[in-house]
Amino acid sequence: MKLKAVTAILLVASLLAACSGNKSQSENPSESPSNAPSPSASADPVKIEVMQEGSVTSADGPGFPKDDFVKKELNKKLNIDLTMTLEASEFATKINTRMAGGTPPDLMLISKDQIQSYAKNGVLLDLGPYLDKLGDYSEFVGADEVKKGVVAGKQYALPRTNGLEVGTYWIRKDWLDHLKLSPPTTVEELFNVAKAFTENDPDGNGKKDTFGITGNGISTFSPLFGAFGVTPGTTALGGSTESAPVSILKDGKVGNALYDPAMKDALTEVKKFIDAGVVDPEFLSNKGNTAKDKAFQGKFGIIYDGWSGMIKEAAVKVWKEANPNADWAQLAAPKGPNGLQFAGIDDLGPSYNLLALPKTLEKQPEKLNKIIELLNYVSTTEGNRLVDYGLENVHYTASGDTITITEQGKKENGYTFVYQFTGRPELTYLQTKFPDQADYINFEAELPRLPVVDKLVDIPEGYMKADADRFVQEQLTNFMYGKTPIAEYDKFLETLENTFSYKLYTDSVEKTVAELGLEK
Amino acid sequence: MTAWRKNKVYYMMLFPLVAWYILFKYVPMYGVIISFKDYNILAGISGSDWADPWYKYFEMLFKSPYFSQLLTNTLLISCYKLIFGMAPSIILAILLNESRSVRLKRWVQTLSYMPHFLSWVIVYGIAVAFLSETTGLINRWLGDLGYDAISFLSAPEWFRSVLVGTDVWKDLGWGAIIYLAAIAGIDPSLYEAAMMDGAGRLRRMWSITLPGIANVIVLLLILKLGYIMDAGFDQIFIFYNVRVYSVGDIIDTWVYRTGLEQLNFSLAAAVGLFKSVIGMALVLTANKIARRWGGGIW
Repeated sequence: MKLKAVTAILLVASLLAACSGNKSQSENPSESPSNAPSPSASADPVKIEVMQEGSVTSADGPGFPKDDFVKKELNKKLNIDLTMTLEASEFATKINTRMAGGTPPDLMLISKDQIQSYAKNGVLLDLGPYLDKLGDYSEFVGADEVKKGVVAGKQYALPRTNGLEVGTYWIRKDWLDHLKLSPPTTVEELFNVAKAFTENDPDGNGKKDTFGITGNGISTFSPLFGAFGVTPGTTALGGSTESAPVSILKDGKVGNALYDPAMKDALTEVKKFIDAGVVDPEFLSNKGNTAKDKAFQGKFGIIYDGWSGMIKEAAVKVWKEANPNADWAQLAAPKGPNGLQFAGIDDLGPSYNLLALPKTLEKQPEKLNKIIELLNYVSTTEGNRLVDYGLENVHYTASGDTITITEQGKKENGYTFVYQFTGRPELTYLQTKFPDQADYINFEAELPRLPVVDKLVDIPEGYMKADADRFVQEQLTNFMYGKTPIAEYDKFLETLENTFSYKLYTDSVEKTVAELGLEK
Repeated sequence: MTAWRKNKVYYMMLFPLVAWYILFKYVPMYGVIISFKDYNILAGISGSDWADPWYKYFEMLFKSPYFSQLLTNTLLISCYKLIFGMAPSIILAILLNESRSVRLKRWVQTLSYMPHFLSWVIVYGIAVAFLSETTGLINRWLGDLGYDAISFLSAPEWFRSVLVGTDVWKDLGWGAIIYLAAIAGIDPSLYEAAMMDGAGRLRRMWSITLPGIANVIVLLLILKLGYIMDAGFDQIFIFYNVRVYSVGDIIDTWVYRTGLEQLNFSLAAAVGLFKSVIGMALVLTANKIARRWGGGIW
């Protein structure tokens, strides 16, 4: 069924390509059905179309508000006519069709894989020569970050500011109090608390119906692996089919967690938890909100999750309603036998889609300059505040560096994030938007995490990433469940190298790290 | 020529359908050639370079260390669904046909085909509510009876049964509709004659109803064989997890995981072609066998 759809789309794409082949040089092809405002300025404003994935909801309901104050302000300030094209579904297919049809948007936010594929096809503009002009932008995201937009040796993409890594163990404080235990600080203590939560009836209902730890997928054990200085290879809060980041940058050198001798110790430790029956037997099949639902229902006392899933008002309401005595608190990452502690990974790759410009802009210097101006503007303090919070003294008030969002702002600025083309100062932004949760956000932001580089790496030809990822996840799971004895760990690595050509990948990691100058 | 003139109106009526088939079913087949090319979205289908070697993308599938497992899983799950999916629908249709109360018949029919319209996400939610190891209804009953909980959703030995079971539940009533229609087409005088001769209910079901719908059963079987390589991507993608990859990973989920990462259209097309060729071979063979018994489609 999927494949039939693919064929149909390809056909459409090729027809489009055939029809519009000779008009691809024509002026501006942005006739997308967006609610473009009529040009208000006097001198001809330059039309710019931005295409990205997602959807917005404003005070007026789904979609942009009638009075789109951010767009108005940007149009006025820069004398442009901005068109926002948002695609909530099948974004990759839609942008492929646009690119193939020779009607690319002027500015797009796309994934690293798309950048790679477009770069190979030569449809993206090499931004290297224009970096000098992008001063405000470079300063905003940081010169080291800008390098992460380099694909195949050229600056085909511009990364946005990095996101915030979140996620840590949360624990039922009231259960701890009931059992007269103190919050666990080491792996050993964590085990004892989880055991007590399972066996000593922490909710006092006289039934043995509670468990220790839950979470979604292998990441449930991120802090446990972290206590041994390794990572099990899932993204911070990922599901079961996510990619496997395992290349850790430690002490200025890149190393692969799978080859780290501590990996065996970590797996053995996790096995101890699973064998003791203190872990959700379904932690690997939990999807979406299942783990959280079970925890909120009072079945589990410890969960691996981020602040936004646990302590935002909506979430608090859910677990308070289920149990008025419930009190979820954050735990710092537990210390391992060697004193190491990491709450998860810190992905050094771009955390969001990257900015890219079509090659056709090369012949439209005027428009290109306006886009550069736009990117610079939303990177300045003034411009960034506009796209983060709205209009000054209407949606927010500023005194020095402190921003306070007004009541009107809370109501109306829910959609402005789509204008954050170059990103935002994440921590400040979140703390301003969620002042009540500021401490929790800060707590998770400051937890130590293992820096991994995998997302920066180009997948080498001949390396079947999906197969290797599956093999790694499956085998690690088998070690955790004791289906394969840990003594056979070296055999696992051998198979990984021989059958899945893992060496191609580790070589590519080293090459990337050298190119980006990440090792010191 | 005279035949043409005589049947002109009929041909004209046929024309839109033929045009539709050509436009939407045959022309797109042109796109199949990208499975032999290094497809480049900008160069288009004809402009892309030929893959080197031409079987490059087929090789990618066949050379995957998981290929034999993927193929086994796909065929097994598909066959189970075929066998366990058809029989209950036929039985339900016969039972409904024998039901004396029209009201009961309507109710059962409506209720049993409703699940067909639920999406797999919802069905998975229902499955979790019943089968979850920690919170599921069935495991709570088992616990109360003193048995150990069973991990239906993440144990390799249970996973396929869960897939087939939920699939049967979802499409039971929907599948029965066509058999009911076929039963309605059986000449009532046959039943009357049999009753005169003293045949009981079971006898009539066995000797009149079943032979009466045999050709429909064969027809559906042959058509379904064409889709034998589609084991149900939508369902499995939602149901599976790392613990059951070994019994649940099928060709389509593999293509999704592999192709998604690299936007590999050529691979997707190659696998699609491979599946179609096998499906077509099966349909042709099955039809040949059926014709020997006088029941083929053409």
